[in-house]
Amino acid sequence: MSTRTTAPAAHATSHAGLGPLRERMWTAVTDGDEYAASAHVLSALDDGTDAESVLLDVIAPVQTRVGAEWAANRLGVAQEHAASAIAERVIAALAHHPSARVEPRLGRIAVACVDKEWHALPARLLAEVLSLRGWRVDFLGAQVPTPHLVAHLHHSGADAVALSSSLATRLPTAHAAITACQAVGVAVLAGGAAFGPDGRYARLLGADAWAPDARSAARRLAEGIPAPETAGGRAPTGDLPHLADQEYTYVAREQVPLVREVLAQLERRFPAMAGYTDHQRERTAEDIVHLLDHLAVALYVDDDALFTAFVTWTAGILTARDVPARSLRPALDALAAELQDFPRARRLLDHARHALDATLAPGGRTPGAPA
Amino acid sequence: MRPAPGGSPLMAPQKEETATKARRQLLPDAGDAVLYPVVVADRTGTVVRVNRAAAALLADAAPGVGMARAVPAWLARAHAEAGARTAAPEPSAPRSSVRGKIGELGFEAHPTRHEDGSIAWWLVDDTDRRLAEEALATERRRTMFLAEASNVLLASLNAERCMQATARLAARHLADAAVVVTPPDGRQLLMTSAVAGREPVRTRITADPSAVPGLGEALQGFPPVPSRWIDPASLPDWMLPEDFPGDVGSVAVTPLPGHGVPAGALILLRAGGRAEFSESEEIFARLFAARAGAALSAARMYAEQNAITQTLMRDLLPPELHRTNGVEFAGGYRPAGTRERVGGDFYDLHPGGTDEESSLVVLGDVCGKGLDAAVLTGKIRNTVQALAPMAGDHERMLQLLNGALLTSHHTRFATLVLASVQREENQVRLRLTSAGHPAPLVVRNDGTVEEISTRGTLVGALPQIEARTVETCLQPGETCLLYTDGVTEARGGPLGDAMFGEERLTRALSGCAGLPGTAVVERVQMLASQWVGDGRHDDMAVVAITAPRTTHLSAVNGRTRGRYTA
Amino acid sequence: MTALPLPPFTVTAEDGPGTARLRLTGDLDYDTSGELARAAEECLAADPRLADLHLDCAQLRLCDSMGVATLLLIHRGTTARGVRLHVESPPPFLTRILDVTGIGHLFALGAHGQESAQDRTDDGATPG
Repeated sequence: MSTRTTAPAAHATSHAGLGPLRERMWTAVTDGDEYAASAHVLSALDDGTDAESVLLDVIAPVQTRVGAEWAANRLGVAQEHAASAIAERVIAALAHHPSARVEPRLGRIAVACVDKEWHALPARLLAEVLSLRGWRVDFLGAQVPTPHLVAHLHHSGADAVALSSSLATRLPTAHAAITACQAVGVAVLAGGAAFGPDGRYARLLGADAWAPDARSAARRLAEGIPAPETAGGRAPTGDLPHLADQEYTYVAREQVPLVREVLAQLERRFPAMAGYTDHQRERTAEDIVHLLDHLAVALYVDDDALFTAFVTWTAGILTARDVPARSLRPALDALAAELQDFPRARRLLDHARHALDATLAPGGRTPGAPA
Repeated sequence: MRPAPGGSPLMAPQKEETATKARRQLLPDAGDAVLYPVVVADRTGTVVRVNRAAAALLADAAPGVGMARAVPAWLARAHAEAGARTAAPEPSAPRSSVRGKIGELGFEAHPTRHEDGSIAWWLVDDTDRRLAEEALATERRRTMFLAEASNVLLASLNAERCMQATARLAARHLADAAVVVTPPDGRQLLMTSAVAGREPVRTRITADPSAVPGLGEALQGFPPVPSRWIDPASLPDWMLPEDFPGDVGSVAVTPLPGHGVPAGALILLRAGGRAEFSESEEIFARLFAARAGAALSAARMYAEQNAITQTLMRDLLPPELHRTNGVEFAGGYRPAGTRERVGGDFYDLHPGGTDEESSLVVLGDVCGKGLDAAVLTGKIRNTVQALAPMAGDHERMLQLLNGALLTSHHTRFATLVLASVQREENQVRLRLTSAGHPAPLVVRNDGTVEEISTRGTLVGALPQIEARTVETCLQPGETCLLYTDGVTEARGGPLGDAMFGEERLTRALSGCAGLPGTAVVERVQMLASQWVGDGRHDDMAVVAITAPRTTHLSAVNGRTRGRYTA
Repeated sequence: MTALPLPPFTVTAEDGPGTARLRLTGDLDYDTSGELARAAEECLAADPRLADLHLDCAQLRLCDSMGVATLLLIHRGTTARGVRLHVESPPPFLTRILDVTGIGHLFALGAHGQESAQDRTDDGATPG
């Protein structure tokens, strides 16, 4: 049977040799052939490849590539779902392989995604890595309502929670989950794209620790994260004093009227919208919802970069789909007009509009959006 | 004051009786005209005069003796400093008093300067005030500690964490080590012990608690027994924490009274040579024990309730679906309330005994919500399971189910869909029957979405029902989706109050052609959930029945064959 | 943005000779269906010679499964007393619910209910 290679040198070697396996997996995943995908992984394990390397250096990069291909419009959203379904099966098959069976000898960790978070794969990979490293892991899955998470902590007595979120729009929910776990004396390690590339939002929301990837998360947990102080507790808005201005609350609560208003303004500015089908109109409304969701979260964490990054990313996504990204500009203008009494929202929108103009200018395709 | 070994900041500073006794011995009867002890010393630091009270208090104080010998250091230093200052031109400048201890007693020394430069030190006994101040400070620390202990103890409803917190706090603040013992479960005793400054250790041993005097009674919880001192020699070895420093000097067994249920006992251990507990410390230990007991019993009751709920809930939770008899099954369930795990929607798979026998899938929705509805789903699911051998005739099966559910008390009904599933070659043959339920949808490989035209009456409310079974066939890669109306009636969308509806569901499914069943289920759940946003929704259940696209068993080598053929 | 909250559900009763009419507005659901059951029960109790009970559903916004169960309960009561139960002006969503659940034939559907309930079958006839 295989032996697990844990020495860094051995690991580097096996990582370097995993290229062909990654390619085979990519082909199987994009073909939707889960049987081939499982077979590749199992025979790699039979040949002595380290299970952790298969998880993090084969399955994870293939999924990252799926996401990138989707963004570039070379894979459909349905294929993305299919790819993650296959990854789930492959991980399940891997977990049953004799080389992946490790007796728990460390503490107990709960791994969960925040509520409304559907991207379970990063959390699933971490859960498997932690099991391989000897932790007793409870994987609670995607979109775990905070009351379920806290109830689990009460009855399992977990030493720590690894909380995953990939969508920035879930940060307020993540904040609720983090503080709820801490209130019962359990430390929270935050991870996932939502918390920012440097973990800045994890710190802002008071997470006890942050890790950029599964290996560092496992290392961080092994070092031990001190339990949070339960005595006294923090001041309710201590982390985010800017929330006192209620701008976040307003934008989040008034989302539907704001969407309607922006939609109405767009129809005035774009006569072409009169010819839209109901379906197209709904998609446009959904795009506005995404803008508002991100604006609300940017207000929540008071970070210009978050909203600007979303707007320029969306411009890229639209361009890849032959949708003119300049259509974003009037939507932002309409929002700015609606929110002119909100200084922080205005600041965020101004910043994003400048960044969008700069993004659109060099290509020369859309110099100056029609207003 | 002598600091106790490993002295805790919460220990009483001194026993009051000792101080009073000391004072009586030292000041039997002050026959002097001046009641206060007075020591007069000159500029050179030599005692000039001592009154009787002072002579009784300070054995070495006599005229001609140096202050350094005659009085304690703090007073000699104060005199030297005052003498140095007399060099200044204002000899009669008022001097502030100094404080210190003489023997067991505390004094305030007030200086009075004479014209010749000598100073008379009037010694005022302030032991009582000092004791009161120290007692107040101690009480403040204790109150803070109790508040902190309550926060720590009440934060978690996990019994193990509560025991650890209790042991850790007690070892740090009340004794040198503490052992929390829970009421025995059979022959086993569960103990969590902590030595001050170390992490608590949990042990489970087979032992008789009555081996420790008073422990049996304390563990019974009610009627409450006072904490009692026991002879350290009577302590069995298994009770002593392994890393306890040195010999045990004193041991107290304190019950942890809970919410009408025994929560356990707290055993406090002090090292040899360390003072026994004072009365105020005992009261304090009792206050702590009351808080710890309340927290522990709450955690234990929560754990017991939770265990009961989990057991009862196990049969109500939807099952995990996977590939069975050559057909892929996938299911997804989202109850309405975020606090709930079960609701009025349900699904089950009853696999055929062999590959040649049909499997039966049932998905349904009972009226109502929450636990009430879930209990009704349990009844329906059990009945369907019993009727599963009759699945060759869906209508007959539904009539029997209807008869079993019918009651004169109410008209709570269920709607459901039955699917008999049979793999034939590469295809999957389906017999589908709706009993008042939204029709199943089939996703063809070309992206067409077909509504299966089965119809029937809901079950459980009417004496007569009818149903029409429809057959269809899935080619490899095709999926049949069963769903509850929580999906299509989900309200939300970008403009707030639209229903998700069949049209959107159909459009979404059309984009799922050829996907594995799990991906179809995930996609539908995700879209419905995003549609709802933060709004309320009903229970949502989805089951996908999929004809496997490929069967690459040949690609699997001999050792791994069969791993994922379910 | 403070809209006056609409009452979730109201039932108004009108009596005529041998007939009673209940006008339903709002959401007939888990929380409100008890109110309708009581109102119907009162109508049946008030007039022993009642021949027709009409439920005017024109203003109904929503009907969940508890609402359907309540309609079935009222039907049970009217059938036992020989009273005809009419569901009048059902909005399309209600017609659809009654249709899918296979119980449309129990209620003499008035106004724009008929066309969708066309393939309902009469008692005893087994389709297919």
